[in-house]
Amino acid sequence: MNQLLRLAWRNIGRKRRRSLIAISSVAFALLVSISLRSLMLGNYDKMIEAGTKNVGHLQIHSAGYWTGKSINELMTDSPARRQQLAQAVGITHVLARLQNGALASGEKTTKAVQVNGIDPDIEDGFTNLSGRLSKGSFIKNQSTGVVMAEGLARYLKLGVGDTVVLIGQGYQANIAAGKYPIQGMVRLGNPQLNLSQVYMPLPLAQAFFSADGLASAYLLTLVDANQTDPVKNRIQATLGNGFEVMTWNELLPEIKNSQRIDTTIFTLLSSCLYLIIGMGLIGTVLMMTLERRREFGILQAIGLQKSQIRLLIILESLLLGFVGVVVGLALALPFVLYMNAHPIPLTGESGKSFEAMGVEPVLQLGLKPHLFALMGSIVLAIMGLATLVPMGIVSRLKTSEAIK
Amino acid sequence: MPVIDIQNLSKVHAADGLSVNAVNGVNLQIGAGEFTAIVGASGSGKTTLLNLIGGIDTPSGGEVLIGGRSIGRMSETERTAFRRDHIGFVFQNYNLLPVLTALENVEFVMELQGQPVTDRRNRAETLLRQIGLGDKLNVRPGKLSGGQQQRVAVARALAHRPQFVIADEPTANLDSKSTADLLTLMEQLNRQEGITFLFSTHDSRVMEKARRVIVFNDGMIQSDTDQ
Ligand SMILES: Nc1ncnc2c1ncn2[C@@H]1O[C@H](COP(=O)(O)OP(=O)(O)OP(=O)(O)O)[C@@H](O)[C@H]1O
Ligand SMILES: [Mg+2]
Repeated sequence: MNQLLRLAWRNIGRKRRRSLIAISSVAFALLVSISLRSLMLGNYDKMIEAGTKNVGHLQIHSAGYWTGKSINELMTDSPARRQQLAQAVGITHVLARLQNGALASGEKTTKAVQVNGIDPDIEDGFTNLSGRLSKGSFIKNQSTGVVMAEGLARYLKLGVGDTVVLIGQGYQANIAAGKYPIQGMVRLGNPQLNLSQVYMPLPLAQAFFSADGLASAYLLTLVDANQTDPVKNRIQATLGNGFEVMTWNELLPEIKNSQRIDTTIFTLLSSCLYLIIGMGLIGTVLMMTLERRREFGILQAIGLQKSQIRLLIILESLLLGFVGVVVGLALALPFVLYMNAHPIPLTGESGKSFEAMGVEPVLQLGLKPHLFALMGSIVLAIMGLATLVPMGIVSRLKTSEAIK
Repeated sequence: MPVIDIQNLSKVHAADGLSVNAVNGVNLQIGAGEFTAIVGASGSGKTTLLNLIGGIDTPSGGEVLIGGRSIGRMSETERTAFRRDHIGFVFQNYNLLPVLTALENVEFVMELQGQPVTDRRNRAETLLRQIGLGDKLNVRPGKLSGGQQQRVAVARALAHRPQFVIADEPTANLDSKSTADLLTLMEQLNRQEGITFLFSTHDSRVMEKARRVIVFNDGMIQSDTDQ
């Protein structure tokens, strides 16, 4: 084996130019595919981060709530229950929310809004909503006022200190109505949200909706965002059928969808790339075999078994691919590391559209070790495939013919 | 007992619907220590005969017995291992692996057999010195002359101490000086080390050096003379 490995290694150096072309094409394919995919994956990370900031990693609702989001499908909320959840393994925050639509009226205009009853301290620790405060002060648990999105306040022509009138449907056909002083304003990145959100402390919202001791959702955040499924299953099992536990994947299907589209595009692109480069590699390995018929014949004559000649070809092919992979990774790794550490800021329209989604407007390559392993393995698999025809040629090689 | 015992050997080559009796009922014995040439016109069947003796090809009829073992009855794998362990080969040209040095080429078969590195290296160095290439140990074949390459090939063929060495027209691509040198070397190794050589040639000057000359014609032995 050592002998064959040394021979294989030297044989790669034999046609230097050809080997260099093969090695650089592998390196190029790796660099392009890894960079492209890292960019996509880095982008998801940002979308997921922004998305989970809104919806948490997991949500607990009364069973069936999410499809209708009806004020009548609430679940009982108690500090004890929240505490119990917060103490479960892998969970960092538990946020209770009571949310429903309502109509908000200012001096002259009325607009449909979303009323969010939140636990101000904990919510702020997670979403840093108070960081978006543009005027006034943020709400506390005992506050009797509300915080309003800036755009909405402008639309209603209301300012800090003014009173907003909220009317809506409460729990079990109660009428929800109340007057609330505006205590502060927040500027939200997403224009739609900036025109619709009203925040008040959970007890105030429970009173407004006649929903004492009730909440529409618990948002959970996890230590490890990749552990949503096991944690979900565990919680679902403890809570039973009266509740639904959903992951951010289920709560934000659009992320999954765009991921699916991107993955399809990437798979198509990289398949084409690897197909073209694979053809070149297959041709190279085939040439390496065909032009050495006589050499293989002599090797067989002096005592090399056919299996050893096949092994020699496999070693040569894999070594060639391996060198290409090493070079490719040596180029891709520093590039991805650098681009990960130095994101490119996005300006103009594309930057704005990122901001609208609440996503930081930068292009940042994700750092995904599995990607390097995957792309490297694909190259080695191609090199393995490339030996198939040569294997057949060696099997049919007749020593007496080959040495003529 | 002869090293090589050939009984009623025949080989039919079939190609394009035509069949050629390249070897036709040959009986021949080669003893240990012989220095024998097979001569004959082009197409007379010399290569075919040597390939059969060396276990590179299999007979259509008859037997080749090497040390009492029938080559034709072995599987391909067995024959390959048998060639490695018992026979040495020198071909007309491109004998050596271009990516290995002279020393590594001579060591090659011994390494294949799994001989310890110091043993095989000593043996290869000694042989290369003996054939006057002591200063070319680490040179690759591409930097050697044709005559030097053939001498390295001879060294490789006998390094693992085979029962005999087969050389099919080893001098065909050499000039007359190199031809004479190679023959002198082979003769010397035959005398000093008792290596059995069986070689084919067109060249009458090569023929003259042989101690036994077998003239081959149309796949049959026409004459067999000691000289
Ligand atoms: N693989 C083959 N298929 C068909 N015919 C063959 C094959 N090999 C050899 N022959 C034929 O067998 C005969 C003997 O060929 P061989 O090569 O043994 O002769 P040779 O004496 O070595 O000739 P040369 O001196 O030219 O090397 C020739 O007629 C040749 O055409
Ligand atoms: Mg011949």
